[in-house]
Amino acid sequence: MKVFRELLKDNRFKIAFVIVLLLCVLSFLTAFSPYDPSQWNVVERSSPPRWLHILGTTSMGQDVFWVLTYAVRNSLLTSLIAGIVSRIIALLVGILAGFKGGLIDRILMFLTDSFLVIPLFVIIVLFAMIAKARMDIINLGILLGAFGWAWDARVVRSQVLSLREQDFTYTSILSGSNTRSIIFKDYIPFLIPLVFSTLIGNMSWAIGMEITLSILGVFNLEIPTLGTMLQWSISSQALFLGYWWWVLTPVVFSILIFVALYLMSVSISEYLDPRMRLQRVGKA
Amino acid sequence: MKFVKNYLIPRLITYFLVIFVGITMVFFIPRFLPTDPVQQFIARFTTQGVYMDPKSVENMISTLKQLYGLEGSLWEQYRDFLVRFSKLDFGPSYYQFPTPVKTLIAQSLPWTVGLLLSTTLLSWVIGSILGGFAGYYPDKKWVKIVDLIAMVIRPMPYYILALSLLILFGFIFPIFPVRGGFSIGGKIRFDLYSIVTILKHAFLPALSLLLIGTFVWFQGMKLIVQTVKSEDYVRYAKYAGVPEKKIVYQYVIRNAMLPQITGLALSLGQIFSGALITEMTFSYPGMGTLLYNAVFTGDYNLLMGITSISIIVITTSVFLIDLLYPLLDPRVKYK
Amino acid sequence: MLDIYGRKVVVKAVDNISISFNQNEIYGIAGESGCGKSTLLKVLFDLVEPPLRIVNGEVLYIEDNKSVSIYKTPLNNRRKYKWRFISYVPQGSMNVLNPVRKISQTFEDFLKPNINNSDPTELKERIVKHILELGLRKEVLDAYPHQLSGGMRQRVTIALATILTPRVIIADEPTTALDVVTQRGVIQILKDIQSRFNNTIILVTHDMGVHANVADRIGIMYAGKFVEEAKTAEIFENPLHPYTKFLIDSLPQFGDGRKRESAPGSPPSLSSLPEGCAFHPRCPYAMAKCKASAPQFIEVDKGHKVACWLYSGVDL
Repeated sequence: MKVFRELLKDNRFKIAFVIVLLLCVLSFLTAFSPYDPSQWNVVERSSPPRWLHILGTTSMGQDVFWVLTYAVRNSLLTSLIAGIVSRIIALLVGILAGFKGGLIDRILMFLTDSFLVIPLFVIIVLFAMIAKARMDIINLGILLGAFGWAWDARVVRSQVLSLREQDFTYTSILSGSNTRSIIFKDYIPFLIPLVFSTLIGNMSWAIGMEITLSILGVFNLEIPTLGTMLQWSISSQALFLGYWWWVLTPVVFSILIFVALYLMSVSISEYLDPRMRLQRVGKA
Repeated sequence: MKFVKNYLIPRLITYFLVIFVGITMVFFIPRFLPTDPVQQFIARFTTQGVYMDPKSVENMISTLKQLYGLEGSLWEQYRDFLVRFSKLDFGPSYYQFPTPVKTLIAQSLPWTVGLLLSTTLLSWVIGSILGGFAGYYPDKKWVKIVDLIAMVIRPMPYYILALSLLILFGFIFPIFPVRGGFSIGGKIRFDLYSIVTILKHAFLPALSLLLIGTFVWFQGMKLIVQTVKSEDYVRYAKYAGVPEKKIVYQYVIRNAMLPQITGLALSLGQIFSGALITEMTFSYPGMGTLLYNAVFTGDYNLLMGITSISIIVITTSVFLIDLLYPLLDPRVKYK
Repeated sequence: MLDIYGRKVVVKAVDNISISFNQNEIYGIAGESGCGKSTLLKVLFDLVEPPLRIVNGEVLYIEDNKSVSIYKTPLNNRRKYKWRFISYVPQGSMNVLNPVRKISQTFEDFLKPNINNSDPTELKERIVKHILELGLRKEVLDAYPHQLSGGMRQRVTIALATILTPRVIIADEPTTALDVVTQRGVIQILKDIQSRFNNTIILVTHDMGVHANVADRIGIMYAGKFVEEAKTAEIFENPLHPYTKFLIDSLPQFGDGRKRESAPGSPPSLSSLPEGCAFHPRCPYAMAKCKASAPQFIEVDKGHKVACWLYSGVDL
């Protein structure tokens, strides 16, 4: 709690938090949506924003605002799943490689480096295209998570390596603790903040990927997400027909999400970095 | 000689291994998924209402299987795949049947590489220089302004930025052409008109790549420089009175370059993806548009070809940058 | 003054010190980690950066009967004292050499701005001469820092700090993290410099053995203050302050097989010092007076100063 309050002192975090709060509210509103997002022609088509439909309607006769609530919820969920899955993999790989060392370390690091170098985007596209029919937000989340762990695995590994050399590790080993308890009780507290700060960056990447895949058309367009909203509006020539509200809404909200996630991750990682802290203190 | 043995050879081996792993992934992914591309292909015909008698369907299936390399056992398929890969033979494309995938890629690759190379180099240089100064003098007003702009632009995926630029400069202020790499029907020659046209068409896609790239490098360099600035050897030199200019260049930037170059190598994969997306937005005739068309038409071979070539291009670039590193860091050269 | 997320804390790293260093001597400062030694040094050679701040006091640089109060001098006039009058060899000299520059280049970088002559050949000759004078091999100049061993780097840094033969050299823990054999090399180089150039070396280390070997006078620091100062022999044979006694007693001695003890407890945090004499919680001779007020640092014998109520007699 104290950490949270101190983070709030950072203006960037404040802004980010407000935006995230807004997005969460939107997501919860899906429970009250008067329209089913997969239905077409439930309202008057292509009308600009005015009361009752405060963000206008689409060419398929959907209320933009209520579709947005679903879109925000789904996009957030997907990125959350992707983020969590990839953090778990990163932790597993990093801890194994860092703690065991030797051949396991070399193999795991080789895998990690390959994942870093190989342009994952094209591979994900390949994957997604083939599995198109079965794609939903959960599967997409898992797919993205399965590819986004490489960078963090390296970070976790180097942290584990330095922890391993500390005195307390030797003490624990000598006093008979088994590997699992060392890792869980002693290391995890150090690793959690590290992983958390990259979780947010990873979520940002995941949403970006989701949008891109939707634009490409490899995602199930029936499911409302920020990406599919954008795709529908563009393929329906919304810009040319002047239905700016339909295009602008997903664009604006995407930008909001990205900015919020970015500000959050930057303020959190600055908070955690002791060197920056000292530079700040010095200025006082 | 020691350099070759300790540095070059292990990296060469890693280089080939990584490509190998990547290609294997490309091979195995479709085969692990439950959808059968051949059936998908056939299904596309039947849904369009085309009737085919069973015999022709059988013929088609076996031909397709051959073209897709799906005949024989898994091991035989793999072997064939590797053999054909070494000849860069990915079979015919579906999108523009029967043009071989190889040809399509060969046509679009130069456009992508040209765009990519120039924007990456330019944004890296500009971003690093600006970031270097920003890191060293973090309190100047212009630094704070740039930081603010960076905060908004940087997290945006290439697509959104490209879209905004397209709207801004293609429609609202129609200065630049919005599609293609060259004027329709024109032939590319080595004259001023051709060059100018190419540049005009490449401007918007290049701009969006440049913008994002510059800000990314800017922030990276700024952070690194801030760290290096507080290193012991910088403070010591400052105390002894080494002139500021020398410290900035020889002590701070020289050392900050090293992780910055590493960062460049690591992000090449992402830049490539970003370039593809940007191309799609502007219908720029590079690999990006090709990728889009491949996905759109379900062109399996083309997709595999693009993926494989992408892997090779990126891995090679990373390898080259890796080779460059010892020139700058004496610690690596003499180890 | 630190403002750590809302809590304002004042850490008096160095408080109420009046000390003077003579020409042509090696003055050793001893004390445990966290006693304020490094801070005192930074104040001495004028490297005070936030969050460190000078609240009160002055530092005088005296040369040829002319004295300069360095903190009363405007900033741009202070430049000429650094490296020429006073220089320093920092703690952990492992990282003070630019890793991407050859040693010779670093030497040139440090030398050029401080002298008027910029003829490159003369510069190089001067550097080589200095290196050889200090017993280092010429080849060292062509190396990069990472190619040299820790001890070698330490000696190179000492050479770097003395290139202009300053009147005062401050060495902060020059022998820590080195093996005994290399330590000897470093100590030797310091002795050579002092005897050759007749300047003042202020040597800070917690290793009493080094002080015994090299120092002419020793000052003992505790919790930001000096508690004792005397000639080296005097300190070892006749330590007055209880803390000094513990320090000396903790050293192993030939022929004396008694158990070695260090002072019980640990040094106080400089942000929350005890009332009165800072040592009283650990002092076996503590009296009521010690808890009430801090003793003055006064001369009780020729050249021997102590800050302890045991020797100060009545309240002044």
